[in-house]
Amino acid sequence: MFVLETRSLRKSFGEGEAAVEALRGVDLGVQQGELLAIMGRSGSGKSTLLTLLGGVDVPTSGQVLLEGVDLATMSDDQRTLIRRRRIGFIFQQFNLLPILTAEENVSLPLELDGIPAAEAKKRATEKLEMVGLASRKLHIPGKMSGGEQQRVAVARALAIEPTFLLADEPTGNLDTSNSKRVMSLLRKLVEDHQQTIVMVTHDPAVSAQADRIIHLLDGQVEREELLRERRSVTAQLAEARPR
Amino acid sequence: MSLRRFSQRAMLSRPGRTALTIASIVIGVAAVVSVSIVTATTRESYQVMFAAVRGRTSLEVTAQNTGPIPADLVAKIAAVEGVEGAVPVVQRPSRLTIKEDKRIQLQVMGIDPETDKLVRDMEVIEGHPLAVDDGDKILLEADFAHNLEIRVGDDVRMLTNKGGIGPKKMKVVGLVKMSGGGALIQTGLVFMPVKQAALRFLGKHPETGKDQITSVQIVAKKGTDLKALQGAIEPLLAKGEEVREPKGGAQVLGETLLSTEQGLKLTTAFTLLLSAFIILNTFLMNVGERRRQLAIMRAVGATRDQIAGMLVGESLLLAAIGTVVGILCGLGAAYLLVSSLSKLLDISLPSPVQYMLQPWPYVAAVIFGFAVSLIGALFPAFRAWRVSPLEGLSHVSKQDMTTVPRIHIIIGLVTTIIGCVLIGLGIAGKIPIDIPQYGAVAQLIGIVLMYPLVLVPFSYVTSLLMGWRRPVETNLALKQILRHRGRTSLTVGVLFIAGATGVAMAHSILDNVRNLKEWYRKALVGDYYVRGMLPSMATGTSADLPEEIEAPLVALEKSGEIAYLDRAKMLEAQAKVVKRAQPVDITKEIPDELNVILIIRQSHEPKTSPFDLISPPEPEKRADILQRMRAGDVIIGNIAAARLQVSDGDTLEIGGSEGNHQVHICGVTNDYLAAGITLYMDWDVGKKLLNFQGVDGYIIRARPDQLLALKPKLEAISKEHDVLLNSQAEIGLRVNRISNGISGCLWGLIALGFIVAAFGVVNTLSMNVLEQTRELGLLRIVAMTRLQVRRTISIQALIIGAVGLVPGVLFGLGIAYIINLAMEPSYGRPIEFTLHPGLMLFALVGSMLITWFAAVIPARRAASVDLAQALHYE
Repeated sequence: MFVLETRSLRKSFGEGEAAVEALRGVDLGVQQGELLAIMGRSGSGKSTLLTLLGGVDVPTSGQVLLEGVDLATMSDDQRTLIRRRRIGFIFQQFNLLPILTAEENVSLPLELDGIPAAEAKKRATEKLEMVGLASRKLHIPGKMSGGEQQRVAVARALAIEPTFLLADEPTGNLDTSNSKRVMSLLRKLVEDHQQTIVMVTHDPAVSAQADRIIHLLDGQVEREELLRERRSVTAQLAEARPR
Repeated sequence: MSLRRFSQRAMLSRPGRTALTIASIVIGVAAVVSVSIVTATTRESYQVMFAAVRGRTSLEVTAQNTGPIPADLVAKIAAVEGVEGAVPVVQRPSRLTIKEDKRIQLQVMGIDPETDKLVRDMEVIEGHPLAVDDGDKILLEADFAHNLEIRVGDDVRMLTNKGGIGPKKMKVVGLVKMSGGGALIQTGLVFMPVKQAALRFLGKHPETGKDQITSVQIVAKKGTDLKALQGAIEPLLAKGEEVREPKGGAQVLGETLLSTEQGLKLTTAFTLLLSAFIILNTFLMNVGERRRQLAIMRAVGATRDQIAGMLVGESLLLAAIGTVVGILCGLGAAYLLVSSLSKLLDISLPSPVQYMLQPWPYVAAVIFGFAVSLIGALFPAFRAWRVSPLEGLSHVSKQDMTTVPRIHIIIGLVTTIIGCVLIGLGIAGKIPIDIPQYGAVAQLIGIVLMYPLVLVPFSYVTSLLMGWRRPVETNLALKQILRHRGRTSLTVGVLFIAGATGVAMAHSILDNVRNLKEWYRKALVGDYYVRGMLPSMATGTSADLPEEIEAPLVALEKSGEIAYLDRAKMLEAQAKVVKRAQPVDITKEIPDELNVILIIRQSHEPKTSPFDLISPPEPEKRADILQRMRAGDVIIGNIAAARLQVSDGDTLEIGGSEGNHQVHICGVTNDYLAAGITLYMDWDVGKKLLNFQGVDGYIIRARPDQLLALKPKLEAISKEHDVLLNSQAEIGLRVNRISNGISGCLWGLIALGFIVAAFGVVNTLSMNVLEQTRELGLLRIVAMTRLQVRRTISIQALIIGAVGLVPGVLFGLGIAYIINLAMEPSYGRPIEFTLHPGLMLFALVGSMLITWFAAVIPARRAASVDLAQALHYE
């Protein structure tokens, strides 16, 4: 079963002659513990696809199924709660709140959900430790490098124990060294914690870290590239059994 | 809670804007608190004084024109079935002189110490009570005495009508507290034995030699039918005496305070309106600036309600701070206002502190403070509620708000129409006079909401006029202004309101002051005036002059140094309409009878009539108006005429010593004495009709060659009798001082409005500079000097200023015209509208300068943008 699935997904903007079809019937599925990269040129529809997968926007037609539940049929508040509790966002521009500290930025979605501040702070610290920034938890984003800010953003996305992470050009604003560091972190989440990640990128070096790449062209899936064989747990166990 | 932390830090990161929002609330709340306390202090203090005078009186017997009645009536009335008690009273206005020169106006109550407790509850808290034969001994109300630093055992001097030359020394033997409603309020009341009061103020009846009093206060037995009791008492009374329920007694005060209160209420309404718009603008800026952050919060899981709730929470926090500070400022302002009023009007007003201890000013403050803040924050909270998480994912940083929702325009149009209707109905006299002012407020709100319709064309025209010397900077300035039409419209709207209200109030002030000076020029025809004190604000009557002063003045008249010696007396009377020539306006309430101040005076001066006549219109009728008065006609004050809906040609009935008399009205005069509720009668006619004694004032016309020589002689006489002497020039100065004082307060409020509006401009320009950081950086790199950047920002300020202030000033003219028209139904006279081009030019240039000055700091900031950082600004 797919963690995240789309069926005949369409999205149009505008009306009449000015209407633009950003997505024209996209079918895809994301498995648990998979790092899926979505690539395409500017205007291919990848950012639109990301917003629909994240429940930020609703499709014109088609379905976005999160563990079998269609996001498109939900109200704005319901989708907001889904984002808060089950989807972690990582943005190209980090999008940390500049006047909150790293710890406060990470605990934000938890506190929005009514989790007591003390408990939220504890979880935030754990996630910051996970990304190697526990010592910077009281610093504001303005006092951090780009790489550090992006890692705080990753920690924020992880704080809610999400079903999956959505990353929009996560290394787009980083230098090579920090890009490698962030990608290494994401890869580790997939390998060690079975975290599902859907990532939009135009950088081949970044997409090379994915398990699978979907190429979009003019709002449709042009082709799919399998980079790492996804072996089922049964197959792995079967291989490990002595002959 | 992260949202609260975010909210607090966001507010602290913009201290100027936050301070401006709080300042707006402070000003509004301070206005509400100070106006309500000042109004209550002046009104209630006199109401309670009247209540203290009335006590438990069920009925009272008086002369129909407040003249004396025989003291032996008391025993006769006390014997009537149904009467629990009847107490004699002598009540007269007078004046105390404390130490050397402090003069305080008050009411003297001559009471029978043995029987007065039937009517009044008084507790002697220091000293001892009065005895029947105590002579010149007095009791003072305790708080009143403490306020004046008078102690038991002190001697004070009291101006009396009889008993020899000079004021009479009175010993203070006790301080009292009135129980019931008067317990907390200091009142200007002096109690003395009724026998001594009669001796000092009334004397014995000139023909019968009997003792006299001014009233008998009657307490009825429980369950007695008052109408029946009245019927039983009436046969005991002579002609000119009447028995009635005690008078309410604050009509003159009410009218005097009405225009001041209306002015203060209108100012408060405009202040609150300014506050609401400033708060709206700053909150919209907050939402605009934080838009991306709000979108991020939405993206990571904040619901719309949480975002909107955060904004509302901010407004409540700022409201709480602003309300507390506003209350403190309002209390201070109330204290200053009351002491200023006391000094200006020469009256003793109680300290407002006792009203500050009551809860209602604070309740009103909290309601207004929170309401204005919430109203200002409502729409921005709705904007924040609509922020989509898509904006957080988008690479376009901010949403341009170039369009203004159509609903604003529709609401603006509807509100403007409602305002016009209310004003029209007010001018036509179909609705009470205080309603149209809210119509003016509605109009202003409506116009501000519709401003986006005209913002673009006005801005283009203004920029064309300004841009001939600096076209590049002007073009850039215009583009930035129009980039955020909502924000610009609001800033312009605030300036529009400041300009309109400022010019309207300034015009109104100037026209009213001119009217007052015109009245003074016509009505005050004497060279010198001798009087005990200014007429009481509450009753309109004045302290009696000692009768001994007549002889030396008459001597000066006989010696030829005085050309004319005119006498004047002020009495309370009831006037009833007997006949009207014109039909009445049935939409207005007309009282059955009106308490008026009857001013009986001589006018020997043949050429000059001391009236600022409104009617009759015919010059020949005005020329012989004094002749007609000598024949028995009366002239009525404009407010009294408006209340009774009478004019020249109509007939009134007033009470006299021989019963009711009908008098014919020969003219209506503009009058600032006794709030215009006046009736003027010739001295000889009054002497015949009414049983009055004494003189309240002398109006002296010197022979032209004796004008200066007369003064020292008059001064000597006045000093000997401890009365006041004023020359016409001195009264003129006094009138100027009072009107300048009141005008000064209003000018101060107008200036404050402009300054607050200017802060709004600072806010908007600062926000514009912040948003343009990257563009400014690019411009600086490419070509622009710092000076050119500063100019661009300054030109933004000038365009905003011109687009708001020029229409505002013109609209203010319209409001001023409407205010003047609206005054006619209630004031019985039109206030002539005059264009004051100097004022308008001053207002326009002055306010544009303030606006230009408001651009200094944002312009400096813009010019000192760090070029490297600016290019990376989002």
